[in-house]
Amino acid sequence: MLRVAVDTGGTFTDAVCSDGRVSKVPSCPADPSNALTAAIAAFKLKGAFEVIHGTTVGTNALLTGSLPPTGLITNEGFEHLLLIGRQARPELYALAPCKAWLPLRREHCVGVAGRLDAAGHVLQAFDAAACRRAGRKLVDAGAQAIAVVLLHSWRNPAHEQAVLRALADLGVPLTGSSDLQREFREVERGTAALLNAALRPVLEPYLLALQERLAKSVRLRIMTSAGGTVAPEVAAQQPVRLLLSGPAGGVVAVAALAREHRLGEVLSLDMGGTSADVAYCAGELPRQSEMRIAGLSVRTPTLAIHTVGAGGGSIASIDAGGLLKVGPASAGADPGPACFGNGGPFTVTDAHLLLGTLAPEFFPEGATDLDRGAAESALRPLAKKLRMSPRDCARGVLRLADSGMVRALRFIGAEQGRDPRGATLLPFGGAGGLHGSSLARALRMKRMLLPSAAGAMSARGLLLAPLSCTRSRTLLAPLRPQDSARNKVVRELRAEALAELLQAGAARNRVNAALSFELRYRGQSFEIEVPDNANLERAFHRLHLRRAGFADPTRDVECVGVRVRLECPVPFARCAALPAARRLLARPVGRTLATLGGTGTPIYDRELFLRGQRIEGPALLCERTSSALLQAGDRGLVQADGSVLVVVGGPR
Amino acid sequence: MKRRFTKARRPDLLELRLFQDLLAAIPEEMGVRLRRAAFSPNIKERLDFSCALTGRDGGLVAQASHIPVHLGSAHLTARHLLEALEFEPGDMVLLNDPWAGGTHLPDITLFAPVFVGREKTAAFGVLVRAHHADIGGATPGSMGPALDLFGEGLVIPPVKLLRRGRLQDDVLQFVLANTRTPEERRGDLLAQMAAVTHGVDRLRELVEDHGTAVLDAAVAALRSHAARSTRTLLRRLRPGCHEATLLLDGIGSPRLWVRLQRVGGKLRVDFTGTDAQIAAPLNANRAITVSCLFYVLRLLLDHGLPTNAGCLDPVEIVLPEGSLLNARRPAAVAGGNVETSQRVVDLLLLAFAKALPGEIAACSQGTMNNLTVGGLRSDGSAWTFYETLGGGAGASADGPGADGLQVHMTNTLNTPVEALEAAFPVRVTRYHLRDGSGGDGLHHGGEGLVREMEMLEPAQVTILATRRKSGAPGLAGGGVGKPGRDTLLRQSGQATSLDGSVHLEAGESVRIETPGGGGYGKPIPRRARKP
Repeated sequence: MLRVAVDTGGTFTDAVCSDGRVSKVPSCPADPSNALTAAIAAFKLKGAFEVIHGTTVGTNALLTGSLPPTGLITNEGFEHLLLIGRQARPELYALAPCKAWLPLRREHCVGVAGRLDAAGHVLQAFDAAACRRAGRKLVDAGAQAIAVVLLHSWRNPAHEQAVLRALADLGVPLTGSSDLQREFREVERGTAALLNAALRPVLEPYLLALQERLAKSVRLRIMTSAGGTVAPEVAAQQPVRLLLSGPAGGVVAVAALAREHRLGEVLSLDMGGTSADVAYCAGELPRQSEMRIAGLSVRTPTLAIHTVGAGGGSIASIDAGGLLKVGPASAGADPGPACFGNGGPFTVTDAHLLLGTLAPEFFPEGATDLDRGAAESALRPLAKKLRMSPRDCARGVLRLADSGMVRALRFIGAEQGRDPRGATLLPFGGAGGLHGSSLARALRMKRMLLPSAAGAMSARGLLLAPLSCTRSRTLLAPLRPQDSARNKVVRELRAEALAELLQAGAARNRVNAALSFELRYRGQSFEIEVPDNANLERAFHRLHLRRAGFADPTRDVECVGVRVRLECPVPFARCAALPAARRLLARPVGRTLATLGGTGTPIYDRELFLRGQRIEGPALLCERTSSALLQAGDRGLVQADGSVLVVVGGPR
Repeated sequence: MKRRFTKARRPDLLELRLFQDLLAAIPEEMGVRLRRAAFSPNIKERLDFSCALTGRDGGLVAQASHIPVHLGSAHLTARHLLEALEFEPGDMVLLNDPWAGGTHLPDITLFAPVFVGREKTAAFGVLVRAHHADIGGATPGSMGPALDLFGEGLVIPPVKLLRRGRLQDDVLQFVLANTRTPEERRGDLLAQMAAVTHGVDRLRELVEDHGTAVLDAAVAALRSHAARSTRTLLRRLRPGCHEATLLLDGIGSPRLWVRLQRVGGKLRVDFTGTDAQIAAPLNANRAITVSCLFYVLRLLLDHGLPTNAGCLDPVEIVLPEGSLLNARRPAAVAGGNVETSQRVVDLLLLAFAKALPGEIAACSQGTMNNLTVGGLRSDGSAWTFYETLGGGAGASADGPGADGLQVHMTNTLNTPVEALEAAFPVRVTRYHLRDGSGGDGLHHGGEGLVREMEMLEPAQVTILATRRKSGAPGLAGGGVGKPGRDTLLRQSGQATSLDGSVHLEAGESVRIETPGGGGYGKPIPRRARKP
């Protein structure tokens, strides 16, 4: 069966077919399903096929503050639990600080009687009738969905379940916090439940409409933040799992490429028009159980992806202190960079154009006539204010864009306890390849892989993502080599996850399971995830040493939680290998124009590459969806799959 | 020829920006490392720590956005250490003495110099300050009502924890023997050491990449750039003297006083009218008062600016010795960091409100509501936890104040109820916004919080808080926020007010109601509100 992946981005909707074809259509923010169906229609597929979709519908609704007002039912005396959050302010230095936005008003916070203790025992009985009245009141007051978050429900979900039953006939979407995650820490679990409830009225109609527009014979799958796919019914019920649906695809593709090329640790850099997503993969996908988005901490399985406001459209400006600044504001698609000729500001893309590191003839369709004059006039006032030559100023814009990304890449390296020097950089997205070489130098990295069709990597990742289900539960028990209670939980989680996969049509004999434990030293309040292992304790000490810089084998280890991930892998479509080259040195097809001085950069057309060919920097490698830059001293070697492995060399 | 031997020139505006990024990234990464490795909820969950880099003269070079009260004083620590001690490569110093580079005793600071090549003086310093949940003293948590410094806990003058890279285990054991929670302290100190080491390694890398001459020039240029921005701000101040007065609760309700005045190109910040130090833990040392001033300037300056010693260069501080804001040893200072500092910020903001009318928000809760609870488990081991509670933020010309959040000199996260109840014999029985506690006004002040906790075993409960007698003043006609209130709920059903440290039996509760923020602007009369 053919499979089609569709990734809806801010500007373009990319589609990749498992037979290798690629299509690209402008996105349609008013109704994203239009662009999706148009992108699929380009392949003219008939009969049964599968569509895997990465969607940002929910993410955008959250980021723009347009989620519907949602009610919260929680324990009496704890009504404002989520409004209070963790009490911290997102911005340290603010004259009038404010908290991160939630789709929750104070009048929509209700407490109900009933309380459990930390062991899950009932301290105070639960009152179903009062709860029903409270729910009715919330709906009358305008709440379009309701989240139920009770203390210690991770230990004993009975009360939460009872509340949900009492509210069942209200006719609004409901979410219980322990249904999503049976994990402790009420604010993060509760925020996930609240967002999930608020997202349901947004995602349910969208997914329903999608399914209707696709033929009956078409099977739909939705990408989650954790790098796996789920059935549309699951996505509609648990939309909070989709918040990083888009960026997760790129990381999945990177991990697959890293495996195929045996690269070991890789740093993934997905740089588009408005922002750059970075992630660190060491053999496996970088999984974590909590994400930070829109200033909120949300407990939901996700890939560890860090976003910085640096992209091709990032605007160069002068800050109050008189220094040059790049981003986080972006010129977006309208007016776009100055060179689009719509009166836009000077951006990273303009700097590339004027410095001769961009070949307009390869720029994505719709923007072929790049206006150098407009870019130069946008640059002039900036350069004048900084008392620099236009050339130095344009180069400065690029260096600054790099320095923001270097900081982000270092940060995630430190977070994972890893040193980027030994890793391979994998830049992609429309603009990633243009910055890879200089970033690798700044981070002292020696290798870089430039994937082919780098503009469609996220969509390609969707094709590779397995159908998957992750279930987790907090245990908070001492770690013992054998533990029957722990084993029982593992069995339960496995059964739940398996049921979800079978429901979605997975074949039982193709399901793989991965089991991991969240461990910490007793007294710590931060866990490290350790894959199942004959000697968990030893593995934990080793991991702790690497991540934290020390280990203490004399200390007791505590098992905070267990995580079961079931996956049903998808058939892997290998692309046709390129024929071997007879001429070993690739030949440029032209040279860019560097209007600010310099000789321009030799342009290579990646469509013409043959296996085993070499390219020496400086070189601009162009394809339809992206370009990549090799600096002087870099040496590239074309691989069988069309990607280019680069040894980063020369002066830093 | 290697680049490091090239002659340094003054970096251009672009390079300045790049170096700002390069330097600022290091304390950020140190913070991530510390958090990943630390043991105590106080560091891990509440993020009560700070990381900074200092330069050759001890001046602040870069800091991460951590806890403001720790940050503004990093340069005083570094300067003191560079003058007082002989350093060798691989040394790392441990200290908490408020009169030898420290703040209050629970804040333990680690500092390491970074030597380059064969230079005899350190090119940089790396500093990590973290609040430890116990450092001895009369009450668990070391934040109790002591009369002097010696009652507050172990005083550690600067001692070398590492000598030429070797851990001095006797020093570590000495410190651990003086705390109620030695295992946790050991874990936190090791994590703190790892964070400092990371900073040292990264600075070495920077030096290798760019050479000391270039880095020194960049540090100097960034500093004058920050000073320039402060001067730009000063030019916007209304001419004349701007004074403000506020009272602090506690013994004798001491008075804080400040006068802002532009003298030449500099701002003189004069605290002369402030009352003398008191025999209670609300004294501040110089480091704290300077931190507050640094924080307020940072609030008023543009956010993208580098945060370094230059911000304070055009500022002259007049701070009489022996006053509440520059106490003499051995005054008790536990609350100087957490309480008096909040009031100093309010005081400075009130004065700046006169110099920059319309730009400043009303006073916020002005306290951290420090609650420490501790006792002995049945097996004889001690337990302690410490938390600070948010309250109302002051309203501004732009809108109402935020509800229930940490203001000004702190930004710690609270401990989750589920984590607290799983780890300690306490039960949280209420935790919500305090209705109607924000000051009235065109824009309302933010609401305070209510947190009520029942003891499941006998425990010692200590509250260190202010703004209990008078509330946060409003601005431009806005109303006063409600003051805070601390109540003991005895088993007999009797409710009494809590002050200082008390013993509670199982089944008894404590209720903390935190202050609301001040309102902004005259309230619109009720009948005019709705058409």
